[in-house]
Amino acid sequence: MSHRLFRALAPAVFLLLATLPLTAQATELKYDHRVAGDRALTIRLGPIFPQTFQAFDGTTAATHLTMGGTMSIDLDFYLNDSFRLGGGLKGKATTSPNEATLFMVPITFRAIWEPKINHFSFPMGLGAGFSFTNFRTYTSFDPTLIPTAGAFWNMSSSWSFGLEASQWIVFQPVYGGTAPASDGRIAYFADLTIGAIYHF
Amino acid sequence: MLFLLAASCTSGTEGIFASIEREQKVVALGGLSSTASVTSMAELSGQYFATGGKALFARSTATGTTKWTNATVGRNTQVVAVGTAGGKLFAIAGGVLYRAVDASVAVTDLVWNAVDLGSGDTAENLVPVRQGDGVTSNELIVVSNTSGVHNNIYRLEGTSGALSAAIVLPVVAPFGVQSAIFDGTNYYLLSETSITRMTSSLVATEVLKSNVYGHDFAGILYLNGTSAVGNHAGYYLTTMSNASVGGGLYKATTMPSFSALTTSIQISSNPASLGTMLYNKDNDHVWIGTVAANAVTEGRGYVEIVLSSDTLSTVPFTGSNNYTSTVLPTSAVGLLFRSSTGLYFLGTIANGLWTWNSTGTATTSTWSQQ
Repeated sequence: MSHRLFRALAPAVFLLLATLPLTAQATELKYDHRVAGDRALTIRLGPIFPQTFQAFDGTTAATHLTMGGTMSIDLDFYLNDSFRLGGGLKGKATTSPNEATLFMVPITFRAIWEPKINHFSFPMGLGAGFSFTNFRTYTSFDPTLIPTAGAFWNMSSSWSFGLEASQWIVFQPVYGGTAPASDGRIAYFADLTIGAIYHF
Repeated sequence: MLFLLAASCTSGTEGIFASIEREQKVVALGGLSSTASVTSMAELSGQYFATGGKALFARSTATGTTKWTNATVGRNTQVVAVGTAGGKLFAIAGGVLYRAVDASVAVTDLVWNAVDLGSGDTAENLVPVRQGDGVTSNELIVVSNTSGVHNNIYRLEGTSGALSAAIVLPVVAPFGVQSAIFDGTNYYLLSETSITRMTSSLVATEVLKSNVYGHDFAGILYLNGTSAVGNHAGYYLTTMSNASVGGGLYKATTMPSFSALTTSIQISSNPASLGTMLYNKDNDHVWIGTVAANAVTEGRGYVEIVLSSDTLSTVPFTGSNNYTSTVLPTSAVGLLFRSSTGLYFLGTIANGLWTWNSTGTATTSTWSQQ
């Protein structure tokens, strides 16, 4: 009885099992949102580490800033399967020895190359733009470069999760105002963030 | 990239990152100690500032406020002098002259810019330039030394606080300029060994040596006779004591022709040096801080010149008050200061800062320690 039942059901079971990979492949091909014309919305959160201040004559000095926090949101557009262009808004806060807060809000245009291996993507690229900088009663508008690299697990066609590291390079030349030109500095910060990318 | 650099824009009087780089944690010591030495004081933007070799102390000028807060200057806890010139706050710490970007903020939030003296000079002291009423000073003399020699001074002028070029003194005194006045025409700069006249174009000439009087000079004061209560005009000069002979008090109506009012002051039968002077424009007396002979931290309190008779009273402020029951009569008084509202301060060596709790001509009040 049981043999007869197995023989009767086996073709159906094999047929059902055989269709599963085909179904998965068809879904992936149909819904993968990491191809030309798609968009990627990235949000990140993590610590940021002040590294050094560098004068324009090349000398460097300690920042005296504490480790801070950063968060960001980016919107990129895929030009092909592994290259996207977009823009980003970041924010960070760190504190000085006397607990005054240094706020920085960089707005950058980004170019990201994103090679993929199996279920992982490795976005790396460069953002260039400006930072709004505020400290005590001072404000500044500073040219900024942010190279970045990360590793993300593509959990589904729409969602990726991973880690990303960015180097902030903020140029603050001083000229034309009441501050001395010798106060010009380049500030270096590094952040390490966890991120989620929504592809659509 | 060039475009990005060209588009940078920074507000304020210093670079943000540079100011953070210079910032150091403020040292909070909990206020003025009863054993602090206070030798320098200033008032600006609703705050009093005081120092005497430790951190910079400050408190609000608001009536009833007594809490002092302290802070470093630049990255230094050794703040030796504070003063105002041209409406700006200056301080000397670690051999560097600093100017506060904005004196109206809390002392722990003050941002300081170093002011370079140039010529390899190290800033050593700030001397207020007392003017016609013997109280007002909106200029400062920066005493500097070069390899330990006090041959240069600088002036921080009264309009914008701008620093002059180095002014070469004709005579080098061991401790530099101690006291300064401006009589409307000339500056007179007093060191322990001489008095130097300096024109308004900053040319300095020695006019009097202290060996004429047998004692080192200690202080100088000028009253122009118009703003004083009793309209007393003249120049007053004090001298140091030696082990057995007290300091003297001299007066001139034209510089530098001094005549003695008293040549050897004794307080409680002890010779005392007469030092810094301040005109009490409220009761028409001149106050003089004293230092005991051959002692740095011990003193004889303060005494007064009664201007109506040009006599020296060793029983100061003769109204009913607690002066004699405090440590003041045995304190070395190195600072006399009158606030814009008429509050008087005595800065002592190692016995803290004291204030007379009334303004104006009141003589029946009390001294209290800050």
